[in-house]
Amino acid sequence: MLRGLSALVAMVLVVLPPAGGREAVAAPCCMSATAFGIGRLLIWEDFAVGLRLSWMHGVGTWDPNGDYLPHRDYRDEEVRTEVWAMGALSRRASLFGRLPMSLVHRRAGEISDTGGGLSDVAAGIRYELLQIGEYVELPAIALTFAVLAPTGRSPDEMRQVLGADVTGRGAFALSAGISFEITRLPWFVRLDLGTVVPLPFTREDTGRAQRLGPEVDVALSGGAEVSSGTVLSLVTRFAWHAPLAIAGRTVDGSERVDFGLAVAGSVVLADHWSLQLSIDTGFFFSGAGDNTPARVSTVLGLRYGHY
Amino acid sequence: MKNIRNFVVAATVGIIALFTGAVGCATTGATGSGLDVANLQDLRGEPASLAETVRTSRATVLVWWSATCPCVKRYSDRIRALYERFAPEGVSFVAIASNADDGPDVVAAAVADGQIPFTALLDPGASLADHFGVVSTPSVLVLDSAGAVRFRGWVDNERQPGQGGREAWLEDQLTQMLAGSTKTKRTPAWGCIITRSLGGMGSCGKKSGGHE
Repeated sequence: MLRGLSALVAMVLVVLPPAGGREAVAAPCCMSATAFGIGRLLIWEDFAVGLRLSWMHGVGTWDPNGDYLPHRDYRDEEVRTEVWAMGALSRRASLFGRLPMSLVHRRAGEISDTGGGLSDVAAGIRYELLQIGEYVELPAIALTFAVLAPTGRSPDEMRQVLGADVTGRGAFALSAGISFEITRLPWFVRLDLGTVVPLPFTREDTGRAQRLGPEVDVALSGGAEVSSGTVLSLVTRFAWHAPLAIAGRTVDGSERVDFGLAVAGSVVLADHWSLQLSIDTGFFFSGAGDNTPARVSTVLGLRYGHY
Repeated sequence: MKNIRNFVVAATVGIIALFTGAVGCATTGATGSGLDVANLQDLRGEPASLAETVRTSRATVLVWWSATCPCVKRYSDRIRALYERFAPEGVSFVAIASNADDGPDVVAAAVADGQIPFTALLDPGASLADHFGVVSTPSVLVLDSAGAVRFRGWVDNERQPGQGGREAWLEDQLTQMLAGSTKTKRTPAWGCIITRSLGGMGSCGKKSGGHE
């Protein structure tokens, strides 16, 4: 899989050489805005809305020792849709919200479960301390703060044996992030650092206080506008989830590590509209993950920007 | 947040200065008032002044230009049309290149291939932009023959050609000025933020312009 992805990236970069120099159509302000994820508003937009459709195919799992175990007679599929919106408050500040829903199908031997529903919604603010292109020598710096509400079904509310009906954390969480981006036309490089801190909650089934471990996320991405309105990006991501604590005691072996790579493309379809496609994969060998499912994700996104 | 932003800039400048010693005082704007505050240059790097143009024109339209801003590209045809309409009536148009990464060669190339159909001047250190509080491209400023600001903002409210409900802010203002009106107008402004260089900050005492 990894070899295939590398070959795909290499092929794309060879076939579509970046537009060069100052004559490039790329604009520093806008190249990465719609490249992947929900991104940010373009400088002339009042608000943007989007729909992201993801298909996640489970291929294995990393156990708590970090050993990779490919699925055998086990199937794990998830389709997730996410409606998102963001609106400008000022030149530097914008609000955003995400409404995800998921449909999960799992099968182990003769047992199969299908479940889903609303996942945890999120809302937050993005503030651009330094905008792209504000200083020649400095990267753009943006801060994000968000609240995630436990609108999904939590693990302790699970009704199905294989947990296909679990769609959320079961706890409020606060997130904060900082992004640094450097643009040298037609290229950009971005570093995203973030943390998610779930708040304590009491499990309904046991009545005991539980706190999911804080999460640290790091993503390094780079990309280029290869032709007018078409941006290709490569993203490496790392996530570490601290162990959970029940009744104040840390649960051994509950920490998680997830590491992966994604290739993403975005195309401006027409005024206001852009399309995104990305493929995300982990590195499926022992040591490249810990206590987490191994999945390949394909994401298709449609974005409308209003101005 | 502005304090935080200033702190981030100052801290980053300090760190870079600490490691590279790169922060200098290469760009120093002349002091004074009005148009004299800027150390404008022509495309050969020679000192230039707007004073004579302003004095001899019924109105002077300053258009902040950028080589890479998509908004500048979107507005170039509309600005050209306004230039062709109003230039014969004694209105001067001047493109101001304040971006630290738009060098003379870039601006000269834009003039040569017709992207900029009128005079273009360089604004090193963005001192003219700072003086007038201009922060983005393609912002527009209109001066009367006495040098007073009569219009500040955007060409129109139409961020996409053909959009309904167009309000021709700049065109209306120029028409009224030529008809003898002394009203001033200020409109919203969007666009790409003007790119600055750390060479114009710090110990030199220069700072970024305010926000519209």
